[in-house]
Order: sequence, then structure tokens, then C-alpha cells
Amino acid sequence: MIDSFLLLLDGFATALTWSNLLYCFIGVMLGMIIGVLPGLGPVSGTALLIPITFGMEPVSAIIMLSGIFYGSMYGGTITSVLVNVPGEAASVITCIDGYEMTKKGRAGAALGVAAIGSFIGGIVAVVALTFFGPILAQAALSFGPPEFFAIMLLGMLMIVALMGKSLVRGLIAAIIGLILAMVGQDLVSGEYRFTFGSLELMEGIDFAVMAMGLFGISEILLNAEKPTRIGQVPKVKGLLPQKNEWNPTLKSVGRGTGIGMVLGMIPGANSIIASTFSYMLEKKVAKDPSRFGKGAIEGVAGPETANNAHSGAALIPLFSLGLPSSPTMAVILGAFIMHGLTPGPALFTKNPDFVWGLIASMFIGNLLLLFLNLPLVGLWAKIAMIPYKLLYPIVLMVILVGTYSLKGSLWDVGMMLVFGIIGYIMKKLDIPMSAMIVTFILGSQLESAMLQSLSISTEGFLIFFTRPISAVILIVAFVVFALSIFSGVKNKRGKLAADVEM
Amino acid sequence: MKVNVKDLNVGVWAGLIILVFAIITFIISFQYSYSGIVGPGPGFFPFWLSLILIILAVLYIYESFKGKNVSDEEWPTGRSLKDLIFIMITLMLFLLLFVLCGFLIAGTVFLFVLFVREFKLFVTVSMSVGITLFIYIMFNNVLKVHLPSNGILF
Repeated sequence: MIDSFLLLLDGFATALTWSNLLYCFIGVMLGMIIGVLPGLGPVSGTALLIPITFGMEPVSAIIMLSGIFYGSMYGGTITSVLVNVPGEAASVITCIDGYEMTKKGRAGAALGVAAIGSFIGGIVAVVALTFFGPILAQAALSFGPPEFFAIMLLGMLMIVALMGKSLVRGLIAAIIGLILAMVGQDLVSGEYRFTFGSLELMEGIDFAVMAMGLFGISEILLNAEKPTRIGQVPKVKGLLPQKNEWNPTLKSVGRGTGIGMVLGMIPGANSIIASTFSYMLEKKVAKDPSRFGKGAIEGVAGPETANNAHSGAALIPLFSLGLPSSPTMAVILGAFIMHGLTPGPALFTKNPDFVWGLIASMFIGNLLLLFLNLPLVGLWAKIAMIPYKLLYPIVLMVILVGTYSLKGSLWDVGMMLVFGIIGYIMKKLDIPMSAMIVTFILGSQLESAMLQSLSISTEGFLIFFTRPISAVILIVAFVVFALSIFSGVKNKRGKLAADVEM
Repeated sequence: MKVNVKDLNVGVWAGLIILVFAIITFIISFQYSYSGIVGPGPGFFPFWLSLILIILAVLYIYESFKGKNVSDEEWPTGRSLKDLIFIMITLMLFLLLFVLCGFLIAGTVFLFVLFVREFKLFVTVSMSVGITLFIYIMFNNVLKVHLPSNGILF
């Protein structure tokens, strides 16, 4: 441990050079802007900006890319809270209570709490990376495909169980999401599915396209019906929660950090699962769960912290095993390789300057984010005060252009508009969109985990139960599912789920 | 409640559409091999998923018949419907113009159409042009995403 600490100090020496500080700053700012702009999320934003780093030193390049990565995590929160449009996948959960808080004039508190929570979550995660990286990676090694499959299934079932008043509708959304995930090339067999001979469909449906349409466009279409809608958000005063809220908030932050970190280190469990679990836990643990969905501050603090803790912790398997646990990680992995570095256990020994310089800069980056955001929150909040009739065409245009910017493809834009209409209809029918998009993202991972499990299994489907960890997880999943059906049949779902619908 | 009957039919219609989608997916899934070399093949997941969806769709239709799927949201009529369709048509107009004339024209016209009913003419024009240019510069030069400034027509 002492060794790690000393190496970390060396790392600070690298990170605190003027040029690296500058790159960190630029990365974090770009990340925030990308996070706020719909259509560009951490994945696409990071991917888009890799070419800029070509001429840079590996350390500086990765410092900047990491800055973009966790900066955009925060920027995505801002749009979720202020205008109910998730900037990126994990912010979907923040929309639920964050937007409600904005509607009640508490946008400042929501954003402030998210900033503080994110900072704490981020810092704790980086500390974990510093000291426990090697050790914890060892434990995650015992997770094989059956365990990944089990935990993804559990996450999905929990979302369906919690969101929406009807289990049938939730399941429909979830299954449609999974089916849509099949469009494109199957990575296991190489076969193209549901592509109907279309070149564009061969690449599959981009998550950002679906998210922008399903959440961005549909929200605007929904608001078109209320032409006299008062888009007035009262002044963002007070970035901090009220005195009596500090205690529960900090506890949520603590729990969120734990959840985020544990899940971050499990390859395959992405940040949506982390924020969802956190939200679920907060709701369970709260003294008055009916507040959730109507602006409960813990519903923002917990998931946001979990989100950032997860992002930080997800770097642990990346650094120690070379294993990306999410698409964003995969992009960063690509950047590593492009700059001549191979992540893995060897990285700690062969390129200690690089690793520790990067880790040190992550401390700095999180700090920068906190100081940039708390005072500037008022600025971001002012955006929400712009009259809606002025705002929505601009938002539409940014969504259109942002989607186009993913691949320079108008096909994507067209597809996004289709999803916009679908999202609108789903909202009218009270079919939960969150379930659909989460299962869509998890879809291909779920399938490959299952296929991998079955191919290593000698007992067919029983493998999920003969392995102890996966068996336990699956049993929990079935219990959750059974409870769901039970409460659905008994018509008790109204109490549990009514508010979590988006 | 006059909303009740309408919602009933909508739920059933939606369920039917989902059912058709599920059946089509189910049929297509037969094109892909059910078993692969070591374990299930590409047809496995689609087969089971679409089968489950068929069952769910039938359940959904059944529930809708029983009036269970009355949603809180009402469907738009009259003025709201016109506004809605207006926005949708404008969005498609943007796509069309984008292909034909590039981003600058498409963007300006798009914003113009959406602003013109709410703001004075001069304000509308200057905002449409200004915002389009700003976004153009942001994306083209700062983010280095190429936005075509001309299209098929010129």
C-alpha cells in the first residue's frame, strides 16, 4: 500500500505539469459540453474526439479522454435534471426525481447534490483504483459468463418490476428492446440479423439514435400539445440541500458510492444498472418511499454518486485486466492501443509513470469538475429559464445535428425521428420506455453471455444453477419476478410503481 | 367516461400491432440457425424472444379488452393535434432540405418555420440565421464534425 502511495505521488508530479493540467481542463470542459448536448454522449463524444489526440503524448491524450469521459457523465446529469432529456444512458434514472425537483423550483439543489455526490463518488472510486486495483481485479476473475448473464437478467427484471404500473407492458417494452438489439451483426456467429439487405441496418441500431428519439424528440412532441406550458423555472437559488436533507443525502451518497464501486468492478454491469440499483435501494430504505418520482433528493444523490463511482471503478478491470466493462471503456481501450499501450497487469509494472500519472490526473479532474460546476450551476440553470417556444426549436436542431454527428448519416436522423414517434406513442399507451432502452443496451451482452455460458456448459441450461454465484443471483431474480406477478395479479402495483414512470 | 371507450380500442390496436410485429419477427427468426457449432446459434434468442412477445401481446390485447389499459394521457385533438403534426412535418422538411441543399439552408428554414408564428419577422429571421450559423461553426470547426453546406441541388 505504501508503495502505491509513493507511486501516486510520482504520478502527481506528472499530472501537475502545465500542459497536462491544461489537457485535463480541456477534457473536462469538453466532456461537460458533450454531456449537455443531446445526441452526443460519453461514448460518441469520446470516440469523436480521439482523432484530436493523435498528435499528443500518450499520457496527455488519455488524460484528456478520461476528462471527457467523466465530464460528460456530469453534463448528462444537467440536461436530465433541467429538461428531462438524459444526456447519456445512466442519466435516465436521474431524470425521474431530478426533473421533478426542477419542476418544484429545486433545480439548484438537485444539481448541487449531483455535483457533490458525483465528486465524492468519483474521488472514492479513484482511491479504490489506487489501492485496491490489483487486489480487487482478482476477485472479479471468478465471474464467468453465467454470472454476467445472471446479473444482467436480475437488473432487467428489477427495472421491469419497478417501472410502470403493468408488468405486461413493462415486459413488452423490455422484450422489444431485446429484439431491437438483435438487429445487425451477431458477434458470435457473424450472421446478419433483421437487416433486410440494408447497409445501415447491418451496423445495428445506435443506442444514441434510439435514446435521442425515444426521449428527446418524443418529449418535445408531447409538449407540443400544451402550447401555453409555462416553461418558467424559478431562480436557481441555493445549490445545497436544506439542512434537514443533508443527512439522508449524505447517506444516499455513501450507499451510492458502495453500489457504484462494487458494480463498476464487475465487467458487464454497466452504469445504468448501478444507478438503477441505487435508486431502488434508496426507495426501499427511505422512510417515505412515495416521495420518489416526485422529487426526492435521495433519488438524485444516490444514482448520481453510483454513476460516477461506477465510472471510476470500471477503470479497475480495464487497467488491471484489459477488460472493458462498457462501450465507453471499449472506446478508451481503443485509445490506449492506438497510443501504443496495452492495458492489463503488465501496465502497472511496465508503464508506472503512465498509470499513476493518469490516476493522479483523475483526482484533479474530479476536483476541477466540482469547482467548475457549483458556481456555474446557476449558468446552466438559466438555460432552463429560456422560454420554451424559443428553446424547443433549438433543442430539436441540436438533437438533429447531434444525431447526424454520430456517423454523418441522415439515415440515423431518420431512424431517430421514427423512434421519436414510437416514444410518443409509448408514452400515450403508458408503456415504459426506460425498460426498452435498458434492455436494448444490455441485449447483445445478455445474448453473448448466455451463448458463452451454454457453450462452456456440459449440462445445458443447468450451468446457471450449478455455479453457486449465478445460482444465487438467478434465484433472487426469480423471486423478484414472482413478487411482481403476485402484486400485479393482486392489483397492488399501483402503490409501488406509479411514480417511477417517465 | 367518454375517454374509456376510446382508450379501450387504442389499447387493442396497439396490442395488435405489437402482435403482428412479434409474429413477423418470429417468422424471420427461422431464417437463422437455431443451433450453432457450440451451443445455441443466432436464431435462438430471436425465436424465444418473439415467442414470448407473442404471448405478451395476446395478454395485452386481452387486458385492453377488459379495460385495464386506460392510460392517464389523452390523445391529442384539434389544435394540439395540428401543432403536433406541424412539428412532425417540419422535421421531415428539415431532412429533405438537408439532402437537397445542405445544412445551412435546411437549418435556417427549419428554425424559421418554427419561430415565425411566435416572434416578429425580423427577430425570427435573424435568430434562424444566427443560430444556424452558430451551430454550424461549433460543429464544423470546434467539434470537427462535417456539416454539409450544400446538397444535391447546389
